[in-house]
Amino acid sequence: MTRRTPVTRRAFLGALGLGALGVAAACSGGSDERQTITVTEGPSGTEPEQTVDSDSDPDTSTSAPDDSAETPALPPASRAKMLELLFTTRMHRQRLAAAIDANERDAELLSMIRSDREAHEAVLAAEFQRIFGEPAPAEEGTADELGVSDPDEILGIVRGDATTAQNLFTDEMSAVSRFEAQIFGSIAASLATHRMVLS
Amino acid sequence: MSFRYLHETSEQAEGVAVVDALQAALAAEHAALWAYGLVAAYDADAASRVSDMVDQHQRSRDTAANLVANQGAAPVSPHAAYTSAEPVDDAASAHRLAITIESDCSAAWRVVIGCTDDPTLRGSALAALTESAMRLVSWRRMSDAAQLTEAFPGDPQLPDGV
Repeated sequence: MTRRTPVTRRAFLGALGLGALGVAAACSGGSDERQTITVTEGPSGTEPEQTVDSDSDPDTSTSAPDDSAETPALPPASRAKMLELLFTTRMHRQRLAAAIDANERDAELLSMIRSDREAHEAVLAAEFQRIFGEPAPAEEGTADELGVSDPDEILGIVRGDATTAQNLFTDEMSAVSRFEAQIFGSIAASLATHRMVLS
Repeated sequence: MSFRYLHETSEQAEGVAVVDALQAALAAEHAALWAYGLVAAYDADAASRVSDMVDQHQRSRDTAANLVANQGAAPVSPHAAYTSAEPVDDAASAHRLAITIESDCSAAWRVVIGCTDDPTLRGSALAALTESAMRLVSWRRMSDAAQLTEAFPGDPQLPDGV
């Protein structure tokens, strides 16, 4: 059997006040600094913009930005985008295989490029597995034949593929996580060198 | 100052503060500009090519310095002199030095991409990385390297000349 202690109204309100103070302290992180957070409407269709001003020390308001504090990290590429990058890479790798078969003159150069594209595909597949927790779909493209036999035309097709892929990776690099930005940026730079050696 | 020091700091880009990454890129550009004087001295035939590359490095250096200043920091200054891993005494060793410095620049700019969410800054870093990767191919071509391109320019895991 337990005995209940009567709680007076004053004690109840006091406890409530202490609790509110505790919550406020927790929210401020125990810091003496005062922060003013202003949320403004962003351009139509965009997330609201959040501005954080610190008025505890005027000197700190112009210091180097700390992008880890208020700015949420960018997410990895979406599943659809990753598949687009992966399938494009896979298709180009297959076209390179067809190009090597059809162009004996430049087979060594094309094999070198295919080796890079195989590495790109492997890294993209590993990243897909890491983010989505499953292997990337094993769909194959439909690029068994190039439809041309002239070596220069073949090089032109491969160069066009490199341009397309470079643009894709460059565009996607701006809005993904830092880890993926590094991968996509490096692949885009690699593709620029492919265009260079194919010229 | 050794050209190879940058690789030691480029493996964990995500944990690097953006200003530190930019300072490293600026330091790499300073080193490249110094080194190209040596390259030009030992390969007169490549004078025109070197001149173009120096112009590109000057632009990248200025870009890096401005970006550092925008972060509220003082841009690092160039060292008076640098040391290379091997003596430079002919055109072949000069080419190898060029490959080393472009590898350093690639690695440094790749780190910048991986330490910021700012799309404009990522774009600037990618432009510099791409230019450096293309210069690297150019030097490998001149050195008759078996492998001209690489899958991941700026990746510190890859040895030079691969």
